[in-house]
Amino acid sequence: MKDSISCKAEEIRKICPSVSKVGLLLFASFIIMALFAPMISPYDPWARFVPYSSPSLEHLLGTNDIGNDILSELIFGSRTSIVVGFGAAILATLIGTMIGLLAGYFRGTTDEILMGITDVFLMIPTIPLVIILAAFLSPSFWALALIMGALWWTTVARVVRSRALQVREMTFVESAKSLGFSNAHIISSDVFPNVFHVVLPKFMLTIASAMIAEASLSFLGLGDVTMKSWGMMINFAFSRGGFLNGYWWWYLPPGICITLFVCSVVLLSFSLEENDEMTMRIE
Amino acid sequence: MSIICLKAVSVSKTYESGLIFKKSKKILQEITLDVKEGKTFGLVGNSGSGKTTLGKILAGLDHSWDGDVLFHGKSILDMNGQEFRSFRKSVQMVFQDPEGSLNPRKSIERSLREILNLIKVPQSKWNDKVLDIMDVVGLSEDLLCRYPSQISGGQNQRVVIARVLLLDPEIIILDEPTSALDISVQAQMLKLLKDLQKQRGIGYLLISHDIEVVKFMSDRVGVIDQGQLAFSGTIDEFENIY
Amino acid sequence: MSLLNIENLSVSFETSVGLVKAVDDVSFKVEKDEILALVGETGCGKSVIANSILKILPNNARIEGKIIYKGDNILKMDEKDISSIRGREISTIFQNPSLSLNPAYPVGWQISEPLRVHENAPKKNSLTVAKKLLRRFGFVDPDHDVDMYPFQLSGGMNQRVMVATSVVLNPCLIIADEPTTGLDRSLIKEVVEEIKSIQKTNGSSVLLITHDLNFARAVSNRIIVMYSGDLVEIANTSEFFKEPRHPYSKALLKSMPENGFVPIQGSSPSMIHEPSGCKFHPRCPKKTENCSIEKPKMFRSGNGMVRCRLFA
Repeated sequence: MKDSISCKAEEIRKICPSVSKVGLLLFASFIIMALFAPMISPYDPWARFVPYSSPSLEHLLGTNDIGNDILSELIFGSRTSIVVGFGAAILATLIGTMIGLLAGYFRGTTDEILMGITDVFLMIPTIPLVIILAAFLSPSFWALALIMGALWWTTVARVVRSRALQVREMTFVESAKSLGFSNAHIISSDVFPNVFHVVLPKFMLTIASAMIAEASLSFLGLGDVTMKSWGMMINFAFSRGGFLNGYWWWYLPPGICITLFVCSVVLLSFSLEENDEMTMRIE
Repeated sequence: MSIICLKAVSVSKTYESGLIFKKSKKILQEITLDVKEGKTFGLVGNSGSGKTTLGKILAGLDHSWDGDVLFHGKSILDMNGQEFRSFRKSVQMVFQDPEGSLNPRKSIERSLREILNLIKVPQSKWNDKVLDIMDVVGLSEDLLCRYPSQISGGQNQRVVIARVLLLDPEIIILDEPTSALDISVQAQMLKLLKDLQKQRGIGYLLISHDIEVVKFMSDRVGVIDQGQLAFSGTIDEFENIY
Repeated sequence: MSLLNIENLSVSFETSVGLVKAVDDVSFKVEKDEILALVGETGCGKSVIANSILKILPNNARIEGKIIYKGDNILKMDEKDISSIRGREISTIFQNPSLSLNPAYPVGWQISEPLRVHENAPKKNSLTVAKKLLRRFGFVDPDHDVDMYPFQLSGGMNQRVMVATSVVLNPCLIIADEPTTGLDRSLIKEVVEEIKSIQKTNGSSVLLITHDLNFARAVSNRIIVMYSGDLVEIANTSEFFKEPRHPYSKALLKSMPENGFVPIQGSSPSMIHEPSGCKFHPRCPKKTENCSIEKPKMFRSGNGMVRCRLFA
């Protein structure tokens, strides 16, 4: 019917209202940087040039101690850092949301068991575990993302569960049960959309945490040495005398990138949360 | 003589609280009443008297109670899965708080379509059925895009009723259907409910704290006070006492 | 001189879907020693008027007109001046007493708070006044009840605490905003008595905002009917219920339970895309051609006024 078309337009307008423009711009820039790295980057990050060069027209951010162009390293490094961030966040959010929804909706025994499991995982300290694993196993950055995702779902689960507990008490859930909808339908169609606004910011903040964790681990020398990442760049800057000698073009660019990316994620997540609240408020 | 569709037989419910020293509170005591096809049984009582709980028990939404509930003579406790599902489809409940009964993130159109999906109506017929039911409850087409927060309480209540009607129930349990509505909207809603009853032969269990609403709508009345049925009879008998 | 004089008040809200006109050119007076009921259905603008008087409208509100209280225009006052009026000269009884009271403080504390804040009264004195008020409003053991918390009292008792809080500073004007929402019939009777007693004992005027016509009939001297932001009728209460004049008023009274629940045709208009001319005309059984073109003025009829061409 003709009204469906105007309905869709309104729906789209609802989903994409004014988002934080700065956050979106920054975030998009980094994503583009990561996606189109081979095209944007001036050189292959592994190619060797004259080492220890300061920034010049040829090498905008100079070269490091083995002659790699830092700007190229930076651009390719975004891939690793962002993939780890997203990978960990997606895994953690998926697992956490599933568990939180089931625990919050069904309550009773299901809730007790799932929350018991959550508590066990919560007791495991993430960074020390990763350090131990990294020290003994030298994992790739995929493994890092996996470990973080497999441990960080707990906070997502708790947050989702408490929201699901609220939503399940709402009249429209009771009404849906009364009309005869299955539990699966109610959870996916009624409970989850009303829980999503709590999941999205958590997802974005997990990206930020995972990225910083990866950078920290790389800085400690426990990351994946075979891949270029922002954290690795800072690690090498430190271990090869960049800080001591004041070669700011070795450590400032990756540090600034990490900061800016995390900021953009946080800005986006705040503005999305606020927009969601606004659309739900009765005007 | 109208058929008795739904009958409560000595229904009781007790709440127990406390771990060691158990305290029990009787919410409902030995309630017996019946709802006939095409007729309205009005249940009056103050807030906290147990009326909503009774409504939920009769709709099959509550699972811990004593006594029996008969649907067309068959006890719902004896029904197998399929029979119980069929019973639940035929006996529907409209809850207090019309706006809260709809998912705030679903448009009216979507809320109606998901019912059609539930009862497995072929998708080609959805448009017609949606337009038809909107007409039956007196809502205009352009409200389909809207969300519950964008339409009035009365309009929300009509959407709720439309959803229930799509299931083609024999009995509707109405829990304070007009308490949240303005005076003129209340009058419109009561007229709609009466018209629907005439057209479709639906039996109502009308729960309300408002005696006037109950008197206007019901054929027979029951008064519930602190969990007990203090009175049950026809409208005339009711008016003589109250 | 009237106590409160509202002149050509218009309030609109800027929203993302358009300009919502909540109150459209409303003028009326509240006299001393009277109980004036402002009745209408959801969306008619009555609560917005109450909030305008107290200047507690949200930021996206656009206000025009004057609200003159004791010679001063409230709308032109700054926050400091209006704060000294709120609570002391104009106080409010809110809906839903159990939620309007602070659950963290005992009721005695809350009743006496205006005294401590506005008049710097010492704690002991203020609690004594609170105890006196509790006794006046039917609490049999004020010495004990003054330390009770709202959750320990029933809805009806909280209602009376609310009323006590509003009269503690002997205000000249009390705005009662839907004081009977959610209350059982027996409690509504109590509220009627409380409001009448405030007016008699304290000599305060009461501006009563309600959609409950029976409550308005039991309590008020004069009644104002609002429809979709417009003031459509002003009348003395007894005359109004005997013979309402405006077609909306007539239809509204017919839809009351005792008159048979006769519904009004159609539904209330959108507040963004308003009907042209008289806002009620799409639903009016007596409409003429002019009604859809020009919004009628207020015409005098008997002791009251009506916004309808039929009374020109």
